[in-house]
Amino acid sequence: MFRNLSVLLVAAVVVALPFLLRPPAQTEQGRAADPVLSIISPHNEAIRFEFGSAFSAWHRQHHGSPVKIDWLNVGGTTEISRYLASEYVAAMRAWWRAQGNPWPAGAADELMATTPGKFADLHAAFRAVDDPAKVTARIDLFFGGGEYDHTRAFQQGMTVPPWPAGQGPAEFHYPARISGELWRSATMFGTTVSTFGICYNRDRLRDLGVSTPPTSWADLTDPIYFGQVGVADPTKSGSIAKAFEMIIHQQCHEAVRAAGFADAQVEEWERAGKDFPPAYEAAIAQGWLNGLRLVQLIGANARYFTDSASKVPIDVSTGDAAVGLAIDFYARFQAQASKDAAGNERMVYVTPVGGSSVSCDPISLMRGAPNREVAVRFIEFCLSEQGQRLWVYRPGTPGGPRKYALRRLPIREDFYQATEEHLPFVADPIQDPTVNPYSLAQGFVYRSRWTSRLFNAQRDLVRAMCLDSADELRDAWRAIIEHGGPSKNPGAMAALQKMPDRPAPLAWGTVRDIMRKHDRLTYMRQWTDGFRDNYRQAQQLAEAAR
Amino acid sequence: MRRSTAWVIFTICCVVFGALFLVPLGMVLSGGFIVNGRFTLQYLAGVFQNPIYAEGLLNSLKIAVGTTTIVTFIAVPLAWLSNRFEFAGKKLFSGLVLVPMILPPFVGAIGFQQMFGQYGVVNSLFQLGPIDWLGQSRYFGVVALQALGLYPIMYLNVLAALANIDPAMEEAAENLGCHGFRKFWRITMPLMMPGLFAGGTLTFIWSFTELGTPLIMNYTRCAPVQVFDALKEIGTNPFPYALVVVMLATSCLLYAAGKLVLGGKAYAMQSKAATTAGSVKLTGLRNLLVLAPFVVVTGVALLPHFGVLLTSISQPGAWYQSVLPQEVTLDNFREALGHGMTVSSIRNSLLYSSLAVLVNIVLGVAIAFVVVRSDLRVRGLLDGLAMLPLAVPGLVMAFGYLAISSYFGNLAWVKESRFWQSILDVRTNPTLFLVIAYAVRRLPYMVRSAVAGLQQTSVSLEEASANLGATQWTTLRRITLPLIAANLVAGVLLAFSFSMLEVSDSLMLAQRADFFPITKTIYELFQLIGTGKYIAAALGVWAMVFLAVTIIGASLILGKKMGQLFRVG
Repeated sequence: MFRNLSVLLVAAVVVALPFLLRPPAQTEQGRAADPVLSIISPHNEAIRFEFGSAFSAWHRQHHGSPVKIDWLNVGGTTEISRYLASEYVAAMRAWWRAQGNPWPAGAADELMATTPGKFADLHAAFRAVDDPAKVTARIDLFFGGGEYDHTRAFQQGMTVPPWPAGQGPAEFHYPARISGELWRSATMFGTTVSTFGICYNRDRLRDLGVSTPPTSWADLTDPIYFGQVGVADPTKSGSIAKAFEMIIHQQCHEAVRAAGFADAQVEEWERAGKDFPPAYEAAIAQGWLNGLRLVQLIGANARYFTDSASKVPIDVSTGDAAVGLAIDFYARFQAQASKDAAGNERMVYVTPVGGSSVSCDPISLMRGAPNREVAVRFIEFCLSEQGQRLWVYRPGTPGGPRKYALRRLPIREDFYQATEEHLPFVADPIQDPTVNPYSLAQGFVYRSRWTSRLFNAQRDLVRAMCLDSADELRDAWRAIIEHGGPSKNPGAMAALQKMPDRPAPLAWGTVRDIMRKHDRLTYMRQWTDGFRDNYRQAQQLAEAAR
Repeated sequence: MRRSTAWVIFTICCVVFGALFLVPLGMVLSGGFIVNGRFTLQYLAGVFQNPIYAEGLLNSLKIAVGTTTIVTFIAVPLAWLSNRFEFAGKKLFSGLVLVPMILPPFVGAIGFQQMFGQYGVVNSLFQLGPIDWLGQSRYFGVVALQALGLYPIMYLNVLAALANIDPAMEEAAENLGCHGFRKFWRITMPLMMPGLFAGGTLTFIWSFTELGTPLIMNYTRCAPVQVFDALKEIGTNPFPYALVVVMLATSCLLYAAGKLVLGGKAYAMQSKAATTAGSVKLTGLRNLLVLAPFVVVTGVALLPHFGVLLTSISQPGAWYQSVLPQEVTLDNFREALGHGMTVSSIRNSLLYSSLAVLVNIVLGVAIAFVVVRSDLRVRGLLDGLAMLPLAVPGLVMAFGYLAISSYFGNLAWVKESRFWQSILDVRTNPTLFLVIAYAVRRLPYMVRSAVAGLQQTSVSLEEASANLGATQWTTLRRITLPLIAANLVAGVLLAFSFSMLEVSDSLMLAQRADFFPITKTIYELFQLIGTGKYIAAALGVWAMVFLAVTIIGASLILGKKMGQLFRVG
């Protein structure tokens, strides 16, 4: 009896604890008649809490009623994209059939295709209707994710402009494009920005015998980091894929400069868009190959490629990886959270100047938004100075977040022009040129012809070269390191860095043709086969050289 | 069982299972075969044409073989010791031995890293320097970690099977001169084969399709990780669905092969064990010798749990290059348990998991009856189908349920009715779909447990009941269910625990905070930058403690009854 009562008592205490510790409601209690805004977002709880409560208060102040935000959380951007597509296909099918139209096989694929195909009427009808009574996903806004995901959502017809042409805000206070990154379009509006850089663990570097910490992407190819580099996976995130593109792009710049072409001359040729000198084209092609090979060697040193944006800085902060490629705010936040007892940072984050793009986290209005008016106000709030402060102010400061420090960088340029006004309240030194996104973006001139057309190709190549052939790449690189390193194994290095010959010799000038002429299954298989063969040969050559 | 009754149950089971599992699965997997409105086998062929996928399947097979072998060598001796001997500490370790299976998601990986990381506890404790345990020996790492997490499944099933063995059988063997290992091999082993097969198949297929551990160990060339990578890839790609079909077919083949080799050898007994006559009471050194394997296995298997526990009381950044956290705090618990989402998520998880287990009991017992008690030629099909949910990635099923909910949500009669929206639309209320998802994905545990129980119970007991005038319902309630109670309790414990820790369906189907189950709240807290892992670990510890109290408490409260069921009293 006593034993049974004890068990029940323990169980009761365990279950009761959360109830006892439950705080009083922190968000504003609204009325049933208050507007409800439905937002789908991969943003974390901290961002949802701060933006939800601040917008509700702002709305009450300016429009007389608080707003209840119905946050929809279905996972990361991959899941969000699929969920939205599934919702719109189901909604469109119901509406289309209700009009007496047939829903043929293949209609769902057609609806979400970026270009019309054999059901062009259906494709056009979906993009012409923006009425919650007809076709809706019952979601007002898509908040967060990357520019890639929002642009794709627009191409799939899922997002619409918040304002009729010419009736939007007179001034956005930030450029539509910067250093090759799209920050704003008719349907998508960046609200915060981030960079991609290197984080490293000081203790692990000391253990490995590294005297000079890494400051450039090329530093991560040093054999000393074998098995110690945490890498975010560019095949699972458009933002990370863009960051990898910038690594390759930077190599193109260096090759063009090394070939003796001046910036002004390059600018002139690229503006003209034709009659490019063969030597100039050859320099770009060489730079592109150099960039791929740099990524390949980072992949050879990789501990893993992860889809979790926070994993790399967490692992580096605990010493489970020595270095990593990470998004700035994750790394800075983690560096602060992992300080030692004396307040020293164990982990350091650096943005390679001139080697990183500055990408945005946008917001878009959904097609058939049930509460369009309030949704547009939310977009305006995010772009207002008040909304921008939430990203970077410390909790409790005037105009800052209530509970969580978000430690993201505002997108508006005027924010950085009035640093004195903000400095007393910000969590990060926004005046620091290694932090200020406008300073970082200036160090990078983006030539879209060089790499942007090859965006998907580069993603597929990283997959074939570093992920699908990871075991062979790692084995070959280990063999080279164990037999004296790259300088002692030129034959093995040449084999390792050789590009596949099938389905056609791979080069900057041929890759788009390969993708056009062959289906993805075929060229991916042949690239993977090619890389694996090369890696095996490199391993044999290194081992034979003993 | 009458053929007509068997056909009715078979049909109902097929319809229910088809509607809850095959339809959503088919909706998603058709994406690998119907592209732009045209049927194609191009992607299926792609799986076989690209050698890395063949290697992935082969590596998964190696993992499954390795894991099942180690699990068998760990769990069978432990179950046998627990069944045969009375020793001090038995009750405690009989409960603790099950705890490894309740490692919470997300923070479980952190627990591993804190223990085996380069600056983790093992290296610090033994002053080994930054040895990279997680970065080397990836295959052996995966197999070892999986075995330590999965042996409770085998242990429970084998223990239930041993408890069902009539001691008279072994006594008869001894009377005829069969002793020691020969007796175990010739008598005990064949009699417990249903339990061994149940535990073995669950372990085998689980480890064949397990995603989490290979991801932690960065062992990427195996089928589940390849499916995950392709599913998470940006853009649309039909390939992963074709790969899932190949994985499913391989699982079915392996299951059928296993059944052919092992599953057919089930020996029912006229009477079930009703006494503990076979238990030998141990004291002194012999007590210690028998207790030692329990202490060692449980101690090693619980290392990641200790990792989570210590993370939960660590100040952020204070557990680094040290055996224990340098600074401890209860703030993480205050933050986690006091969070606005926590209370409702606990309530939701209990509701979803309990309802799912109820569905499991009804469906599992019904399927088991058809499989074991009928002579329908197609019964093997139902048996195989019931194992399929183990082999389907959670993400795939979640996409399927979402598609079905979207379809219903756009029907006019659903749109116009708040009631139907709250039932059929996951956006309004995901309870129905979450219960279905949990129930379907955990159904194999209940089916295998019930099948094993029925295989060990002679049908003549039910026939005797019928001869004495009892109805089928009375026979089921008064004779059959009590006889297979140990197996059902094993199935319920597994199904409930794993439902409480279900990840993929929870992440996608529970979209609004009001309906989050506890795993999604752990995920949400984990996403908080900087302090997230500590706060999430605190909630993970709560979940572990709750499940441990449930399992150990159930064993203590049921007392002798439970003891008789599992021979642990």
